[in-house]
Amino acid sequence: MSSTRVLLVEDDPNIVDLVRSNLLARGFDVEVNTTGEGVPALVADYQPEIVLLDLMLPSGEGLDICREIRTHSAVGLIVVSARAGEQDKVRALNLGADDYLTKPFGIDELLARMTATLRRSRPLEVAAEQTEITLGHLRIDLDAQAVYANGERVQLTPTEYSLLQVLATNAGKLLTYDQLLRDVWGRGYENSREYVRVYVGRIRNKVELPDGTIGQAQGFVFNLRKDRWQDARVRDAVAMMLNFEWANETLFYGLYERPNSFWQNTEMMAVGMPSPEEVAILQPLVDEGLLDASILTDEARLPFVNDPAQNQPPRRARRAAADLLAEAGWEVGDDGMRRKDGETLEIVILQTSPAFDRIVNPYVENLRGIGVDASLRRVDPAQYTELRRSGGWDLANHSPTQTFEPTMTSLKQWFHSDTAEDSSRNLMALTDPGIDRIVEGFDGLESLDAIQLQARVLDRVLQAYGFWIPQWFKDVHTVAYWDQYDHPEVIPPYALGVLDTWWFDADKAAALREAGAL
Amino acid sequence: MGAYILRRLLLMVPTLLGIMIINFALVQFVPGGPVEQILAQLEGGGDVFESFSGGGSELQSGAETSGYAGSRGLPQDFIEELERQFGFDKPPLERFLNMMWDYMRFDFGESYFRSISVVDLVIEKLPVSLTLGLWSTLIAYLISIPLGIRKAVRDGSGFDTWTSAVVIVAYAIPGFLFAILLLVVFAGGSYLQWFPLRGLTSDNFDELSAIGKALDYAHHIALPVLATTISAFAGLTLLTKNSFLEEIRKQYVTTAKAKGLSEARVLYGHVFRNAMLIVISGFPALFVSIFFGGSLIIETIFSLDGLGRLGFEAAVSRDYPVMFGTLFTFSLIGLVMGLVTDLTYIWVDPRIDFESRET
Repeated sequence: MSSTRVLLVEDDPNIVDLVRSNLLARGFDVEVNTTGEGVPALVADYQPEIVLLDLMLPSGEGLDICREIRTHSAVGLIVVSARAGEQDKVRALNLGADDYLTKPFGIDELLARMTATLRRSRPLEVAAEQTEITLGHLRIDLDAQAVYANGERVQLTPTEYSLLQVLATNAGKLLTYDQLLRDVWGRGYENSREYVRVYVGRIRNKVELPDGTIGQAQGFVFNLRKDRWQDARVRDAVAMMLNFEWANETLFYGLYERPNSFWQNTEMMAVGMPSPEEVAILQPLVDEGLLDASILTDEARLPFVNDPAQNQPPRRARRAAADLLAEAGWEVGDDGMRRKDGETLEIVILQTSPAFDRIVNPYVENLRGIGVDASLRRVDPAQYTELRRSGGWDLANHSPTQTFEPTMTSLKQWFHSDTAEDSSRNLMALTDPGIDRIVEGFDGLESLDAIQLQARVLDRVLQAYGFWIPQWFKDVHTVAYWDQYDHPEVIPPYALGVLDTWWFDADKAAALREAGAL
Repeated sequence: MGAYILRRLLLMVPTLLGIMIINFALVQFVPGGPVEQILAQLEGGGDVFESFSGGGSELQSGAETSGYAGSRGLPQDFIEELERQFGFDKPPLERFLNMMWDYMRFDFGESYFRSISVVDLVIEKLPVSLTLGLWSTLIAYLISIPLGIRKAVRDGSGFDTWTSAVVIVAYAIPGFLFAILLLVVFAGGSYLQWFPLRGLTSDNFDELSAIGKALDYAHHIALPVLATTISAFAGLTLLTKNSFLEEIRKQYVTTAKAKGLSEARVLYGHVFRNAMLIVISGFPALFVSIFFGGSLIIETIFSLDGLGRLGFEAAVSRDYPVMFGTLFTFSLIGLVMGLVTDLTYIWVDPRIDFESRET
C-alpha cells in the first residue's frame, strides 16, 4: 500500500520547498499546487488524505477553496496562513477546516497537527486489525504476508501479493481498475489497465483446485527408427537443451509443471531408489543383460533443470551436452554443425499447431548453439499425419498417457516392439527387449497392488531409457466461477465434480446482488 | 459467326480437360490426403484454420485417452478401410476418369467431411462472396470511370496530380492491414464503436422491417467492403484516363468540337464509346469475380464465411470433391466468360472481326 498522500496548496516557493522536503523525508507522498486553481478537481483525482491550504493565493481567496473542498470531500484539511486574526481562524474553521496553523510555524508542530487531524479523519482500517483473511480455500496471513491455498503455501511476487490483499480485504465490493491500480501500483499507473488483467490472471492460476488425475505425459519423442537416436548420449544432449523452466516462466506464466513419469502424480510413479519389491522384478532382467545394472543403483531419473532467467541453458549444461555429443562421435565441422561419417546431425521438429512456434523456436536456437542442425517443420494437419506415419521427423509431440489399471494389451500398443511398425501410439518405435519383458509381465496380474508395482517398475525403466523429452502438464483445475457457488473443502481426487458436489450458496448470492455485482 | 462460336466452344473441352489433369496430377504428389485428415481429427487435431488464424493450445487434447475408436492406436487395417471408403484403393487413372464422367453430367458429389453436396456448399457460402464482390466492384466502377474521365479532361492539372496520388497511395495499402485498422478504429476495439465487429446481419435480422434489414446489412458490410475496395481504384481509374486521353487527341474529336458540339456531347456521345472499349470488354470476366471471388484474409478478419475460406479449407483438409468440383465449375464459367468477352468486343466495336482472322 502506498504512503499517506498530502496535497500542499501554497504559493510561497520557500515554504513549498521546506514542507515538501520534510514530508517526503518522513515517507509522505506530496503533491503541490502553487496557484490554487483547480484544487477541488485535484482533490477528487489525487485523493489526498490531508490538504494543507494557504489562504492568500494568486487565484483568489483560499476560504472559497476551503468551502468547495468541504462540499465534496471529507479529507483532513489544515489551513496554513499568515493571517493570525481570530476572525480568520473562526471563519476557516466554520467553513470546514479541521485545524488552523499560523505562519511562521515549526515543522514539528505541522507534523503533530497533521497526525492529530489524520487520527480523526482517517476511517478505521479493518484490514490493519486483522491478521488473517480466509476466503473459500484461500487463506492470507497478513502478518507473514503469506498465502495458502488448501493449506499449501502459494508463492506470490510482492505485486501479486498486494493485489490479492486488496481484492481480499474488499471481498464482495466492486473495485474499479483505477482503484486497484492506485492502491497496488500507486499513482501514475491509472491507465495501465493491462497490468491488472495480467496480474489477476497470474494470481488466478496460482489459487486453483488440485487435479488428482494422472498428469498428461506430454513430451517430444525421438524417432528411434533413425540410428542416431538409438544412442542415449545423443538423446540426452538434445533433451538438455529444452529450457522448460524459462518457457514456463516467460511463456506460460508459471502455469505448468513438468511431467517426469507416465503415471505422474499417482502411486505408480517411480520415484527415488527402487524398492526391494521393484528390485526383485528388475534383478532377473539385469542378470540376463536386458537392462543396465544402474537401474538398481540409481534414483529415478529427473528431467534436466535449466535456468528460468534466460532461454539459453547455462554454460555448464551446454558444455555437458557438447561433451556427450563428442563422446558419441559427433564432431563439430567447419560450419559449426556436428557430423559423423559425413552425415550432419540434423533434427526436424514436426509440428502442426502454431501454438508451438514460440516454444520450439527458442529450443531450435539452443540446439543450434551446441551444433545440432535443428529446424522446425510446421505443416497442415493432413501432411502432419502423413509425415508422422512415414517417419519423416526426428522429434514429434506425443502423449503416452496411461490409465489407473494398465493392462498388457494397452501397454503393448504404447511400448512393445510388436507395435513399433504399426501403431500411432508407439510413435517412437520403441523396441527394447527389457521393456518388452516388463510389459509382458502385466499378463495375469490379479491384484491392484501387483499391477501398481509392475507399473512402477515399467515407469522407472521407461524414464531411464529417455526416449522422450518431457514437456509440461497442468496439475490443477483452472476454474472461474461466480462467488455464489461453493465446493467441498477437499474436492474428489479424480474429478472437479462441479455438477456432483458443488452447491449454490444463497447468502453469497444475496451479498453479491447487494454489491451490485449480479 | 455461328461457326466461330462453335469452334470456341469445342476448344473449351481440351482446355478444361488439361486444367483438370494438371491439378489432379499435382494433388497426387501432395503429401497427406483426406484419410490423413480424418486420422488427425481422430487423434484430436486437424483444425485446418489453426495455422492461419492462430489459436490452439500447448496442451494437446486428450482424444487418445477417450474410449473412442481413435484410441485403438489406429492400426493399418483401419486405415485401409478408410481408404476403401474414399475409393483410394483404386488406381489414380480410374479415379480421374470416374470423376470426369460425373462432372460431365454436372454431378459434383458430396464433401468428404460434411454430408452436403458441393453445389449446396457453394450456395451456402455465396451470400458473403456476392456481397463483397458486388458492392466493391460497383463502388470501384462508379468512382473510377467518372474520375478517370475527369482526370483525362483535366490532364496535368492540380486535380489530376492529387487524385493520382490518392489513388496510388490507396493502391499501396495492403487490404488486410487496412481491414485491421478499420476494425481497431471503427468497430469497438479501442476508439469508436460505429460498426459491428462481425457477421453479415444482426441476430434479430428476421424481426426487422424491410428498411431496417437494408440498413442492418449496409451497417454490417461497410467495413469489409471498404477494405476490399481500397486498392481497386488505381488500375481502373488510370486505364479509363489513358484510353480517354488517347481518344481526345484524335481528329474526330477536334472535328466534333469544331462543329460546335457541347463538351458533354463530345465526351459522352463520341469519345465514350471508343474509349470505353477496353473497360466494357472486361465486364463479363468481372461477373465471375463478383460471384465467386473470395478473400480468405478479409473474410477471416471480419468473421465472414465465404468462398475464400471454403477454398482454403478444402485445400488444407484435402476435401477433393470440393476442390475439384469448384475448380471444374469456375474454370468452365471462366472459359465461357472469355468467349462472351470476345463477343462483347464485336458488339461494342463492329470493326473487330475475329472470324476473318486466321487462328
